[in-house]
Order: sequence, then C-alpha cells, then structure tokens
Amino acid sequence: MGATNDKNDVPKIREDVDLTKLGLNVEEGFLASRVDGRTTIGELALVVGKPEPEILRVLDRLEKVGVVYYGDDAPTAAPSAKSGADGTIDFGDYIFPVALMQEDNDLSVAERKRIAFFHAHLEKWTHYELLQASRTDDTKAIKRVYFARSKEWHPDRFRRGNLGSFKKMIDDIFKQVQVAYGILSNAEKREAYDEEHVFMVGDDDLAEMLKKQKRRERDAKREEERKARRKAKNPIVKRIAQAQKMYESAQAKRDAGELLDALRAAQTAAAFDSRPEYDALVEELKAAAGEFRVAPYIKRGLARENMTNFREAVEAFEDAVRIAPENGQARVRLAYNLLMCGRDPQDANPHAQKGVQLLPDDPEAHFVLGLCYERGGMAKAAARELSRAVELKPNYKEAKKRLRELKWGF
Amino acid sequence: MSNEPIIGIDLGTTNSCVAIVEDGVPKVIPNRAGYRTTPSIVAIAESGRRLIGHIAKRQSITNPEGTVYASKRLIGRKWNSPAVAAALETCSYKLIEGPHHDVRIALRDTIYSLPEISSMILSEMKLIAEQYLERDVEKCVVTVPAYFNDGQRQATKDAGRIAGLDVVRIINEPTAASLAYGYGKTVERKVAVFDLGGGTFDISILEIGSGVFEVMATAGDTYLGGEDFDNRIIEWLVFGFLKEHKIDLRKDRMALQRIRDAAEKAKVELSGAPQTEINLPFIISTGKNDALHLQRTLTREKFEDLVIDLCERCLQICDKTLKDAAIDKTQLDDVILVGGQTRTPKLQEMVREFFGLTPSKSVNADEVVALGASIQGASLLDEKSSVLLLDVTPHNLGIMIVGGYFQTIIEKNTTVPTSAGHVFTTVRDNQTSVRIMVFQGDSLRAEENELLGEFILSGLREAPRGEVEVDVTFEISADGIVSVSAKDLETGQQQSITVTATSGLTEEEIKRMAKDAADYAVDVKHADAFEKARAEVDAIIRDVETILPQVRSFMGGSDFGKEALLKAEAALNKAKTATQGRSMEALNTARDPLERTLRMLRGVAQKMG
Repeated sequence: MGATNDKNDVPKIREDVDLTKLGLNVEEGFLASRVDGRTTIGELALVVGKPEPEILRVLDRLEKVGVVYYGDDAPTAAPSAKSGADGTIDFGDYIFPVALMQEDNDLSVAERKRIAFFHAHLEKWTHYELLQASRTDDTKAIKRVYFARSKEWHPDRFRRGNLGSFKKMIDDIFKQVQVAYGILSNAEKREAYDEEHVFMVGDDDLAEMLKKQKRRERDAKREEERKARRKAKNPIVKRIAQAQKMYESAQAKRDAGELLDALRAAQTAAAFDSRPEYDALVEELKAAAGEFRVAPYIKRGLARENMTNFREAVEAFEDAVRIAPENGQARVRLAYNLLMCGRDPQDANPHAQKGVQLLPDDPEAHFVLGLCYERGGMAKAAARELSRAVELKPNYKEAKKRLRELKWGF
Repeated sequence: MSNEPIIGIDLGTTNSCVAIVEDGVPKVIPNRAGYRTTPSIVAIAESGRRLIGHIAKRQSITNPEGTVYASKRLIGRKWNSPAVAAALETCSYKLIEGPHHDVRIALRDTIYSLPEISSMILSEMKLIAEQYLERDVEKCVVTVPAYFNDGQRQATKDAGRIAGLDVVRIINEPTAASLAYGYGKTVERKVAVFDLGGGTFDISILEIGSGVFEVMATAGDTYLGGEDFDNRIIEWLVFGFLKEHKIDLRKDRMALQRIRDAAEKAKVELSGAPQTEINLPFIISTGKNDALHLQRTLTREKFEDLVIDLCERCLQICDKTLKDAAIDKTQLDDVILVGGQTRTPKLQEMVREFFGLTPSKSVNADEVVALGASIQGASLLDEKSSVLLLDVTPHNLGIMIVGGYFQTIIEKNTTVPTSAGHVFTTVRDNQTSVRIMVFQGDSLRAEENELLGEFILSGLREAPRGEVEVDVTFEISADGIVSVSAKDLETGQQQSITVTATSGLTEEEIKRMAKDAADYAVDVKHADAFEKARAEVDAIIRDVETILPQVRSFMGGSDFGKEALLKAEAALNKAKTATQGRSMEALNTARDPLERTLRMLRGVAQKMG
C-alpha cells in the first residue's frame, strides 16, 4: 500500500495505540505525533520540514508497525501472544481446528487451545511477540521472558502419557522459543533481525538497508536461477517434464481423433512417469483404439463375404474379434461366415449369441443366430430369432424366406 | 498423575548418596548404618555373599581381588581406551575384555559387566530409599559427570535397569549441584560450579532466574579426580619405600590396598591439619620372620607440592570453558564447590584467586549433587513445579565427512531439546548410497571422537559427484535421546536411526541381568528381615543374661526354681544357637520360649524386691 501513497493521501493514526510504548525512534515518534487524520502527506512534509520521499518512507514503516493507516477502516489488532491480567489468553477470532480439539489425549481444553493457538501463530509472530518481550527490552529482560516462556513450553512441563499430535506442536513451540531467544539475546543477530522485521532504524541506516535489501533480492534471484539450472540438468526432472508433455500431446491427439498416435504418446508418458492419470489415459485409449483398429478388418471381411470367399472372410473377422471382442458386428459376421464355410454351428453359435447381446436391435444379428439354431436343428429357437429379425425389419426377404422354409419343414 | 516418588541418586566414583524431596524439602536419606553417603564399593566375599558400601570397604584389605572400587572410571569405556589401560596397572581386581570391546570384571568365579557392578550400588541406594519411605521405589534421576559421553550415560542407564530402576533422567552433576544451590531462591544469578569428585572434574556455568536453571557452558575432564590426588600420595609412599628398601609395595595387593586407604586418610586429615602421620606397621614381610614397617610424615606443603599440577589443570579447564562460552569471570556472582576433593585448602585458595570470589559455603559438597537430583526428580513429577532445568549437550554432535573429518551439526552447549540439519552432497561420481556415521566429540578428526551409530541411505540417483543432495537432520529430545535422519532431497527418500549408544551390553543381557538382580533383591530384603529379627532376639538374650545371675542364687533354693533355671538356660542356649545360624525359622521358634523366660525372670526379680 505504502508505495502507492502520494502526497494527497491522508494518513490516520490508530487510536488504540500508545505511541510511548512502541519503542519508536525520535523521527518516527515525531512524525506520528503530527499525524491527525486531516493533514495530507504533502502538508506533513511542509510541517516537519523534510522532503516528501523521506516522509513517505517513515510513514511506510509506521504503517507496517500498525500505527498509521489509510482509508476508512482502522485495522483490527492482530491477536497477540500476551495473556491478560487473569492469565487467560485473548485468542482473537482464531478458529480452532475441530480435529485437534476432539483428539483423544490427556490435555485439557484450555491447554489444547493455548498450544494450538501458539503453534498456528509461530510463523506470524515476530520473535518479540512470541517471547512476549518489548522491542526496548535489554538483554536481562529478554532473558527473563525467555525463562518465563521456557517454563511454559519446555517438554518437561508436559510429561503426561498421551499428548497426541500436540507433542510435536509443543516441541516446535519450544524450539521456536529457543530460536527467538538465540537471536534476541545476541546483540549482532538482534540488530540484523530488527532491521528486517521490526523497522526500528534511523534514516541514515535506510540507504544501507535498501542496499542490503537489494543484495538480498539479488541473492535470492541467483539462488532461484541456480535451483532452476539444477532442476533443468536433473534427468529425473527431465523425464517427468517429458512425460507431462507426452501426456498433453496424447490428449490433443485423442481429441483430434488420431487415436493410434494418441495411444502411443500416452504409453510413452506412462513409461516415463507412472502416474495414475497417465495409466488411465492409456487404458481409455486402448479401448477406443481397439474399435478404431478393428474397422479395416471388418471392411476386408465384408469384401470377402461379398465375393463369397467365406474362408478368408472368417480369417478377417476372427482377427477383428481378437482386436475388439466387444464389437457386435465382427461377432455377427464371424458367426455368419463360419456357417457359410460349412463349419459346425456349435462354433458359430457363441459368436452369434454375443452379437445379439451386443446388438439387441439389429435384425442381422437375430437372423444369423436364427441360422445357427436352424443348422443346429433347433427349429423352435431358430423360428423365434428369425421372427424377431422380421419384426425388426419387415421387408427382410432372406429372413422371411428361411422362416417359410422352416414352417414347411414341420 | 502418579504420586510415585522419584528419588535422586548421586552415583559417585568413591561415594554414592540418595535423596528425596519431601513436602518441598530435599533431604538426604541416611543408610542403615546412619551414614549419609555410602562408599561406591562392591565386593564378593569368600562365602559368595555380595557386599556393598561400608561393609565392602571394611573388608577390602583382606579381599583386594574381590573388591571393586572406582568402577565409575571404567563404565561405558572401550577396552582399548586409556582409562582402561591406566586401570589395568593400578587396579587390585581383575579386568578382562568383554564380548563387545567393553570391559568386564572377574570376581571370584563370576564375570561382571560394569553396568552390573554399578547396578549393585544403585540397588543398594534403592533399598535405602525404600526402607526410609516404606514403599517401593521404581523411578530415579541419576547424576553423571557433565563430561560423560553418550556411551557412559547409556551404561549408567543400563545399570539402573538392571537394578530395577527406571532412570527417568540422567543429569549432570554440576547442574544438580546448582539446582540444590539455587532451589527456593528467587534471585537472578550467574554461578560457576566447580566439581572435583573422586574420579572426574567438571566445570559448569549456569544462569539461575526465578526457578529456571540454564546451563550456559559445561566442560571437564573424566580423567582427573580425587583418586589422582590419592595416587600422588601413594606414589610418594611407594617410591620412597622402594628407594629405602628396594621393595616395590605395589606388587603386594594387600599392602597396596592398605597404602591406598592410608593415603586417602592422610589427604582428608591434611584438609584440617598442617601435617599427618602415615603409620603402616608390618606392611610387608621379608620372609625370615621379619617384616618392614612404613612410617612417614606428610606435611601439607609437601602434599600441595605433589598435587599442584592437578590443581592447575582444573583451572586451565575453567579458563578454557569461560573463554569458549565468552563469559567474563567478573560476571559471575558465585562459585560453588562440589565434591570431597574441593576440601583441599590449596585448591580452595587457587579457586578463590582465579574467580576472585570466595566459594559459596551454603552447600555440602558431598550431598549437594544427590539433593539436586532429587529436586529434578520432583520437578519432573509436577508440571507446575517452580523448577525448570534447561540442560545442554556437553559434546559436539555430527557426522563423518569425506577425508575422515568431523562435521559438527549440533554444537556443544546447545540447549536441549533441539534439532539442526545440514545439506551434504555425494563425493563420488555415480554414488548411489551414503553411509551416515554419527559421532560425538570435540576433535576435528572423526575417528578421535566417539562413534554413536551409523546407517546407510541408498537408492540415490546416479549423478556426477556433488550433485545429489542429502539433508541430514539431528534431533535431541529433552531426555537426551539423539535421533538422526537423512533425506535425499531429490526423491524424498528417507532413512533414520535413534542413536542408542551401546554400553557394551545387549538387550538380552540387560534383561537377564535385571532378572538376576531382582532375585537378589528378594534375598537382600529377606536378609534384612533376618538381621532385624536377630537384633531383637539378641536384645532379649542380653536382658536375660543380665537378669539371670541376679536371680540364680534366689531360685537355686527350691526344686521348682532349679527346674525353672534349667529351662531358662536351655531357652537361652537355643536362642544363642539360632542367632549364630541363618535360619529365620529357628530364630522364630527360639524367640517365644526366650520371651517367656524373660517375663518369668523379671517376675522373680520383682518378688526379690
């Protein structure tokens, strides 16, 4: 927000903040005392007698500390670790995870709340907030609050049988307490930390700070690049990326109807990186490509059938059935041609039945099954199937003819 | 929460002590003989009986091969360590190598491991506490020198298990001393604990504030202690004798044991007197019905001359510790002296000079450690306790890296619990596994440190060296248990171990020993009951014996009286025989008639007027 402020913006001061207790430096304090909610930044610069950019920078810091705000709504205070006079903690509007509150362990509700609350805020609080120290505390005072927090969070304070998932949380909190103390008790580390997190520096240091910030950003960028390079070099990562690419191209090819190419691409992707979605795509395409691949065989079979070359037709349809066992037409044609080359109707019958099952409304299917029954000497069943074929296709001459012949035979 | 007590045991090199917090007051529990400390001496008598403490000490001259003293110097040590080499030279008992490069002690026909020997002392302390509290005690806090490594700590824990004690926490002796010193005080203080015990020297710097005890630095020397002071006197006596008579007294175990006792006595006396006589008549026989006597006068000056370098070594360690922890001597508010050896006036003077402070007199050097242990025990029982100990790791912890170097991951003097990690890379092309060897110590060369454990992380990607990254994380719990995990940052593959330093005993061995010791505890308890009954019967016998002569002439006048006298004498004799024996049953059957006799005799005496 700070960066977008210009000289016409009006900074406001939060009413509920005691400026004397924040450990502001003279410059910050002085400027904060001039902010009254009516004066613009430009006017403030005139009042204080400093250039606008400098005023903006100090206001920026004040905004981050939560002293100054812009707009209509004063920001509500972040829940703090500080406990009230009666020892209870103000949890703010923190919502406790139900699973934690209901876990089966030996902790009381108040303890669960305290632990969960602290643990959830470990990353958010500054070291000062965690230790409940003031920014102006000297080493001795820091040690005192560290001892107080240790007494609250040392694992020796939780020597009960079952702590459930709170055990790790307690450990984490105590470790963070130690980290915080390690930094705040060491003058050098504390200075560096303050610079980064607490914004309590004079303007002379600001230039230095910005320089450092830039250096940090540059270092971070370099680190990022280094990581990227390392990642790019890594063959495993490469394979994973390649698999992803193949997978995407397989999807594209499937949508374009190039099923065989799509299948090949998906298979490569799954081989490079065995992920469930890749495997699923392979399965899907296998089924689809089966249908797709069977077409030429059926075509060839039908051509042979037309030329009454039933033996070769049988071969073609047998291949078709092998590729796509669920293809009704292939089944029906195979059954028909088997009968035509004079093979045992027992061989043809299962295919014909499967054909009817797959294509229940196809007259051809019923006709072929009828033929099978007829050749097998089961006239009644044959008549039923043939009638059904005629029913489905009233001008089915061949079927009518066979039906008639059957009746004469009676 | 259970209200089962946790006792504090100071398992010392020369003396042990047990304490308990009762109603918020830590107190030392005296042993059956009324002494507040018990010698850490174990002996197996000729009869095969196990003797512990004062009784073991008393018979040590006549039974040097069967008496183990200062076993703490050997506990958790490897067979090829310098401490063992030194002990082989001076010990009167027999040391042999155990199956896991550990040390075992051969007493009579049995071979004992060191945890077993220590367990005997611990069970004695347990028994003392149980008799005082009149209930079973199963939990304890045991103290060890701050500079004990993991192996030595583990061996001490094992000793506890064998003795049937759950060692809930091992704490450092100087830390325990500071707990006793600062207990109940609300002041904020920085103190140095200067602990020169029987076998070890420890220095710790602590900060105390509102019940929290933070160890800031700790260091020491496990090869420096009161025994070294004794040895200087022994050497002086032995070499003087050798010069005079051309006889090496060290060759005679019994003579050596007598000299050892005399040296310790002389040292103690010199703390109060300017000089002392060492008088050991008939120290050695020269064969022809002739014997030589050892008679020397040791002045305090001479003694100080003998041990000045030992005192200086202590102060050098202090100096280094303070420098390492970047603590200025002038920041210290108090110096606490712990361990019997700190009674030496010269040492007190040097400490005073070094720290510029008069050492605190508010604690008893012999008892303070056990008291501190009991305070820690009590604070572990009570989550709301006013005492919290923030202990540190005494050694650097890390792993071996290429070239045999030691890479520290957790630095010494880090507050526990803690965790820390470091990213390592492969060192060879196409290296698919890394061996993580966990060491503890302060040397830059890994092999000079103590190996705690090792494991292998395999399945790494084949890649040029330096490319595969492995994250090694160390974690130390509040109980001091170290766990190490290694993670391949690329694949996320992970391996970990919980480091349990070996004390040289396998799990089965410990279990078997614990069972054996439990059997023994029943025997010991039984023996106690017997002793008690015998003492009571003895008292009745004494009463009867005093009263009997007074009434003898009076009763002798009548037949009835004569018969009664005979009966009384028979009962007396029977009781006397029973007290000589070991049978509880005989004692009980002898008791009734004896009591009747006493009542009868008293009645007669009353009639006599």
